[in-house]
Amino acid sequence: MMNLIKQSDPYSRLEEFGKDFQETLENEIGVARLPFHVNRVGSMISVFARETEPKNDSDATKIDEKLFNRYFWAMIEEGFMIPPSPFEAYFLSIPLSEIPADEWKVKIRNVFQGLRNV
Amino acid sequence: MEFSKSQELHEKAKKFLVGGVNSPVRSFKRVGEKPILAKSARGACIEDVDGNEYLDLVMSYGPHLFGHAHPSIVHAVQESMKHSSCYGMTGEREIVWAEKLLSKFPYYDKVRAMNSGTEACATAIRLARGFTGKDKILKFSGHYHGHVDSLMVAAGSGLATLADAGDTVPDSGGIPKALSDLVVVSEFNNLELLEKVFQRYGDELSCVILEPIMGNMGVIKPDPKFLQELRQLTRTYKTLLIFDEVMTGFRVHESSAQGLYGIEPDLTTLGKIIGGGMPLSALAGPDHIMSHLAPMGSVYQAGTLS
Repeated sequence: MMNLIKQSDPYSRLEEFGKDFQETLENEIGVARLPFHVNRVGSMISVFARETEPKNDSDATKIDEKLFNRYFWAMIEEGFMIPPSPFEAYFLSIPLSEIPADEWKVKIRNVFQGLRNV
Repeated sequence: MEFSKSQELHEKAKKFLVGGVNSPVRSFKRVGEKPILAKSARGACIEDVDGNEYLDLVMSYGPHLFGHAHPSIVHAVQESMKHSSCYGMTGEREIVWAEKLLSKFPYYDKVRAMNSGTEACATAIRLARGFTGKDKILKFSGHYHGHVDSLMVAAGSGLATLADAGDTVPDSGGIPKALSDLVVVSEFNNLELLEKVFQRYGDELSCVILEPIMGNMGVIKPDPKFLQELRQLTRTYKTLLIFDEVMTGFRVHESSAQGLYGIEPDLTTLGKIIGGGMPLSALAGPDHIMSHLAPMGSVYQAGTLS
């Protein structure tokens, strides 16, 4: 693993992909007018079922659990495996960044459009 | 989507595994208690036992930066196994690995390899206590450092009122209150409370341990000023600052979260990524602290598979 990191410098690529992934999520959340907040550092990202940014664990637990539950299964139906808990991070990867953006962006759009229409 | 095979296997798993799982979150308790079971994964994709395919954003909670079953990692593991999985003796590859790892932390001199993040954090705390001669530790609510007895502590909503250290309550059965009494809990990103905690307990604190970026309550970013002030306070009170980078190490930056935020902690725990998905963790630090570990010092840590 240390050799792979040294050979390929994955971090700038993951930062660029992470930014696109975050902006896509935020855009679709905005279009659907749903109370979610996205936090990201590099290739670690979370979608909180609340409108404002959590600053600590007390904030992070003040979420809409029913909305998260619907969001989780909508993500599964669209073909994203995410942690089955509102209190876990997601981890982006180099091979995910190599998938054509159109493929995953339409899935994200479907998730939030579907949630809006329920 | 069809999940019948997952449900069938989960029912069978419940006969042999506690709750049908080997780690609680896999029970899907928060999302309806109908777990999806994995069959195989490669690259960005994971397939479940019913044949459904997903783009995987779990990635085994971090280690697969280059995706599942990366050919270079599979090859390295296969080659390594040809020489045995472990010796019970020091091997040359350990030395090569240690030199590479430490090159990313120019302010550290030594590393001790272990097998899990829990083990690395437990050792870090024991080392801090042995080095400083002080017993209390400070952690932040919601931060997870493995299932170390003395760190399975929550302070609840009362923490903001600066409860006595003795008011902390174990967050799990099977943990003596006497252990949680040695833990002070504060709130992440709350600078005002942090200063009060140090005024009250600073002289008794052996260490502060934290996730520099919270990952176990979802991703919560640190206020850089909070980390800077924490670094200053720990120096003032001769308390060791431990960054638990089991999740963030080599994940968020080549020099981990500490490089991203420009903080040099006294000790760092690493895991997940450094083993490429294999059970490997590490504790790294400078000579004057690390030399207190056995066999050089009195703080014991050992492991046949380390």
